[in-house]
Amino acid sequence: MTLSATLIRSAYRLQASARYAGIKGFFHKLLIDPRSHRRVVFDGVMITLVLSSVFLLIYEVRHDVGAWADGFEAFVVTVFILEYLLRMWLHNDSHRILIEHWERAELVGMRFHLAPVLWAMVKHKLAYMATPMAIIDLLAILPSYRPLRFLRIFLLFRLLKLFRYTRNLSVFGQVLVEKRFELYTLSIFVGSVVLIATVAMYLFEAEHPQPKVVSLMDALYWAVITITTVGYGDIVPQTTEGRIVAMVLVFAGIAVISFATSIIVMAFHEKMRELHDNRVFAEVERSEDVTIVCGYGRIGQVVAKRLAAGRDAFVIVDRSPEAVELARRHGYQAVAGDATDNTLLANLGLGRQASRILCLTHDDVSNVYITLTARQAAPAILIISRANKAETVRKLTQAGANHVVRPYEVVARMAAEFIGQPVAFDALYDVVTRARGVHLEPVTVSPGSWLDARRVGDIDLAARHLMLFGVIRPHASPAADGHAPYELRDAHFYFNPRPEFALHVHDILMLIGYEASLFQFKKHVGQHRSAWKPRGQRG
Amino acid sequence: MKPRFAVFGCNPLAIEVAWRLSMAKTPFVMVDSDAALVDAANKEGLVAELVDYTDDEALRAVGIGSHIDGMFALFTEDSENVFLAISARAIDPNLRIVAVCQAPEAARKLLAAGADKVVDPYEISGARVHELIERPEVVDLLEQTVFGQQDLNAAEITIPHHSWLHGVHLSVLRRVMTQNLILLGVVDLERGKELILSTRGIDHKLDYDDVLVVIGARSDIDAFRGLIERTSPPPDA
Repeated sequence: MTLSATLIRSAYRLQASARYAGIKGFFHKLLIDPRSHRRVVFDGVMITLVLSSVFLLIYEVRHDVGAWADGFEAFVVTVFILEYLLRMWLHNDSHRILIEHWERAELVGMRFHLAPVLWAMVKHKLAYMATPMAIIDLLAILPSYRPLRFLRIFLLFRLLKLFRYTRNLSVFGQVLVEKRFELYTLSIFVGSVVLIATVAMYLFEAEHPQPKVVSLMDALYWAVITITTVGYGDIVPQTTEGRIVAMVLVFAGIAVISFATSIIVMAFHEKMRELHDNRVFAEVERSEDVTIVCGYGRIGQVVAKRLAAGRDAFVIVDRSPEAVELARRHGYQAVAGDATDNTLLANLGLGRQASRILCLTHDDVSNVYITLTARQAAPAILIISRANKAETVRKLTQAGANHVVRPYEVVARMAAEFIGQPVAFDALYDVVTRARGVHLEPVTVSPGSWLDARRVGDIDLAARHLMLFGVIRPHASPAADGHAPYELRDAHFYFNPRPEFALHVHDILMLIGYEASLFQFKKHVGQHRSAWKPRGQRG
Repeated sequence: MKPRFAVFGCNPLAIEVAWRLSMAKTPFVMVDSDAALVDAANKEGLVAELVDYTDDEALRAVGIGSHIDGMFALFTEDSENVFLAISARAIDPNLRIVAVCQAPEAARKLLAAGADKVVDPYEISGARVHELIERPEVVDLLEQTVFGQQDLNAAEITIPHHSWLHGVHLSVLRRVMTQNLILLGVVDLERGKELILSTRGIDHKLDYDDVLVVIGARSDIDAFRGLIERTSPPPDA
């Protein structure tokens, strides 16, 4: 009773302890979390330790290195042991098992036995110890134990530890595991061919007056050397029968080699995409304020180019591998996949690092579906969607798009405006797109700013080479007297306000001017960068 | 009343342009050489005709070279648009031609073929998407005012030969104008198409055939037009 009571009490204490969770979290980040920066550093240190200890082992063979080498070896082994124990500790939470069992016993009203619980806890740890990586870890430690000195050769297993610290190397192992069925088939084939050849060779050759093949071992050695197409030539068949066996074996060898090569190449090829995608996900994980661009058609390309020019982080998703290939050739982060896939969107950090998603595929149905998926996954993000047909606009808005862009409409408007007044339209268009250094720039009146409560006439815009296009005032602020505002969705717009127009906090001045003048003005009012962020909520 | 504009093409984009023109109550003709597309446009409620655009006589029959001032080349094939622009430009050197292009490299060819303005639908849409990310308030504002249905318009006013403004400085005009307008700037077509922003340090000396670009309500713009077209300066100038 006392022992189990103490154990259960301490298990609950551990469960409740924030400090314990914190420490465990810290080591988890250090050793396991693939996204943590600390792990990268830790892996680097471990790789250095492994390489230097193996180097020392090689150097020791012919040189006398003295006492410090033993000290170093002891240090390395200590680190390895600590790491091994930590990993075992991190593998699972033993106190949870205890609590679980105890609570189950309480619930059913049965007597609580400690022994099976302890066995369950040990079983979990043993399961960890049986994993390939844990075995490698153990093999890297064991040979340092004096009585096991004969296992020194196994110190080279430390090199295998490198698998643990470099993700790309472990992919190699994964490839082999995934293709185990093919490799298994191949090895059975090779095994039987080699066996037959060995026996045949022995039977035919051993009876020859000057036999090259004296034992079965010789025959096996010859068969292996031949089937792998190495063919040293130290043992050659003397009899006609033996030569026939050799010829058959050579062809079998070519088949085996090509089959093996194709299996491994294929496996890597399949894995390549996943590897690449993982890299993209890791990259996204490290960035902030990412834009997900769905669809890399012409519009997607234009947007990507502009985002890249503005040094904004973005990632492209397209269903077609060709488009993804193209995007990668352009030097952008891209993954092939379906943007309606929740897992993919989550991997791309939707709602975390990714604050906006652009649905730009040429298919309206896809755009609506992506919009809906994204809106449900992340209610606060900005969604801009493309609509090809007029009737899709409403569906997209309903699905949760903040803005809808309809290419035909944009073009039609441009064309129609241009044909009426080409000069005015070009001028205005240049201002809107900032094509010629003339910008239309919003400047927000922040609380306590120089602009607060100032009259428009007192700003002396002309001397600053600026033009006030108008002032946007949110509906929440009181309306200005004597001005007829234009109605916007959630604000009034006062076009070309008179000099006596007094500014308010949260007003937005829309200023037209050259880039340099605008920059100067913003510096003057203490606003180096636009305080405006894209509105996250739905309009 | 004879239509002043011609829309070539009956594809969805052309139909969109046609609706926009009809909303602005601008008379136009709509033609295509593909009977199926013409039918589709007719079903939409637009009046479209079947015309072979490769035939110069047919183009003349549409009104190119006579009453047509401007045309839209909206075919989905860049080659068709280039051919159309070349044919139309040969018939009428003063015609205003707006063309769309599919491939970005076709834009230069279309300009060489005689188009005044080439619109790349993808470029424009992509730019808009980017603007929506970067500065949604600017796009929203213009969308709902200047480009939208509200009475706030951009207009261009060419200074006529008899105007009092010939040789007058821009600053004088700014002092005199009383309308609630923004005088965005001047385009001196003799010197190029670039807009001289009116806030720039240089006080531009106005000249006839200069184009003033203004933004404002329609009534103010009309009043301003009256001011420009005066032969003698207003009393307080």
